[in-house]
Amino acid sequence: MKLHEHEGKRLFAECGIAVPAGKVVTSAAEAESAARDLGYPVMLKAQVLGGGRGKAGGVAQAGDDAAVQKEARRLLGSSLRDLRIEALLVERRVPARGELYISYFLDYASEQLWLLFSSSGGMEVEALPADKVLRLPVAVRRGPDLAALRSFLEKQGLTKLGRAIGQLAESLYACVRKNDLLLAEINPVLIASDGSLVAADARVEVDDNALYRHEGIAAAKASRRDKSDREARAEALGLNGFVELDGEVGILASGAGLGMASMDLLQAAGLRPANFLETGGRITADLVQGALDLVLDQPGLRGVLVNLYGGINPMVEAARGLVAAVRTRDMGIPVVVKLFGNEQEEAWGLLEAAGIPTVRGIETEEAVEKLARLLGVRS
Amino acid sequence: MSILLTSSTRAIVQGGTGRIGARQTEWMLKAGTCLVGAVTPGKGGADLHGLPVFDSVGEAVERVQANASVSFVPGPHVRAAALEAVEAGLRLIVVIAEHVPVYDTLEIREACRESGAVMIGPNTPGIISPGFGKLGIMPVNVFSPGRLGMLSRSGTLAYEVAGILQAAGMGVTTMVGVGGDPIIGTDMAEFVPWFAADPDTKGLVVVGEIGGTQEERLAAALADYDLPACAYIAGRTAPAGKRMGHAGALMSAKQGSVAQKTEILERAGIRVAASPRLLPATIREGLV
Repeated sequence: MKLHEHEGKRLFAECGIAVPAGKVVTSAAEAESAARDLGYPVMLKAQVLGGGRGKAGGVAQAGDDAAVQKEARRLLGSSLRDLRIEALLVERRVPARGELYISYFLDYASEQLWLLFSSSGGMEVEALPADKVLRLPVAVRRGPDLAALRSFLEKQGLTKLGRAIGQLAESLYACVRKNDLLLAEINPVLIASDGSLVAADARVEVDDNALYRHEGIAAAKASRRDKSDREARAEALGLNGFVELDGEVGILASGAGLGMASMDLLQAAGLRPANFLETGGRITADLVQGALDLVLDQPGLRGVLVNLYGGINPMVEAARGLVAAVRTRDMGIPVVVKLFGNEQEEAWGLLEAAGIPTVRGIETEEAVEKLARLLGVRS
Repeated sequence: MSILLTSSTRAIVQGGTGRIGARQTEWMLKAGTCLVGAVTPGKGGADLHGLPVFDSVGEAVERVQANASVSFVPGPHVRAAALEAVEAGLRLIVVIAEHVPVYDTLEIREACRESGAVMIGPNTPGIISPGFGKLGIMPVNVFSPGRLGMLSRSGTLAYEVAGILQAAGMGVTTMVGVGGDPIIGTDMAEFVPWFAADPDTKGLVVVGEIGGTQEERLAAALADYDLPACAYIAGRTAPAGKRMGHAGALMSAKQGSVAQKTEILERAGIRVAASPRLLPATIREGLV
């Protein structure tokens, strides 16, 4: 889950990292009153997710009431990269004599946590020459190697700031571990006139699997409206994965691999998937009924492929859920079920008794072929 | 023979006294697995399908010489249970749970690497070696003993592939579900030396999927060994930037597509089947 700048900065501040004084506002009037309280000049920053806001015109500076009103009106209600700007962060501008870059990020390609630091801030770190950037792998039980950071700073002629940067690296690491952050990027870190360091921005992403131990962040997630209605329904049902696609055959699968293979094999047979859906390992009759209802509520469907395996999941329960969903709807389209695993004979019996086309085999391709025949598609 | 789960494995079940753990323990016993006990703090002295229940892993090591663990402990408690198992000296730790916080996985992985233990998972069906049973939740009826090693990022798709291989008269020495998370204890490439060292494993079947770089590293690892391999990669039609059920099955616009993985694998001499049904023929052409 990505956090807004102001949410990220709150986490930073809680860990002892200095951030500019600021306030979140949702109207030009609020912006003006916040600016007066903070003192001019102020920065107005659009609170939308993702980097590169400055370049996209989402950040403005204002020196008086009239400028705040004008910039706040321009930003609020407009869109930045298709994301509607609903709130602004108004901050007291911090005079800086230099800018730095620091981040921790969990890289899935190398399967490692990395500390990235550069003496040049304010631009994308990828754009910097390699010798200007320190990349340190971090062992999570030990924390960052501060000695390696110090020797890099010496080489870069930043010895005077060494103590403050080391402190920042430590505090940010504490923040990463305390809040289970997959990404914590400060770009730029401002070097204030007194030599102290201030986090001028915050790009932060939290591990969804750890939200159970971060109530405050979880509450922020619950209040977000960044999902389609059907995605929100999928989440409420407790499904492991639901992705809307633009085809005409719905998919309900009980595993990520099975779901993706179902998509691939449908496509190979000339049928386009309308969605990806994976139930996860907590199937009940109600969950399967809700999942099939969700799939069937997609517009423009011609058929549905159900692909289930019963290991940890009980197949008779699954069959009951499928039968209940089909019985309570006016079914104009075929739902083909392939199911194997525990209790398969009894499950097949329930499905066939309800008139649901059922494949008694292990190959997903058999089910795809059956559905293609029912839809009159030649593969 | 087989790898990791062998005749010398003596396993305990962590979290075996819960509803799911108890049922899976029964099925692992039926599969012929050498389970020597269970560990649930506070339930020491109880009996689980004839197995003694201990309060701690250390006690299980002392009393029944346990050297491996399969854990059904739910996500929030995985870290403590797994670290306890590593500290008690177990050599193989199988973590079944999904939704484990990634820093917990990293901590367990670091502890395992320091002590030389092997961690499988999380978010895995586990490991099965026909003839020696299974530490995990997979069905036994699709796995016959045979000459193929098998690695999979997916659970349910692995069962389908195993069933297709079985119908074609092919079996496995060991199948490992490595786990569907983006960061796991042991990735596919790291299993290659063990399979290569097993005299009974004549070839490797890989069930991969989009996202990450595991297949790429696997291709590099196989270059160092005389172990022929073939693969099926799921997610050819998945869109970029969307998580496909597994947190690890997320491809970016630049990286992790089936086309990219196929190219890298084929360049390394690993045949990639276009569908699961084509795997037996691909194996006959390439491996035997």
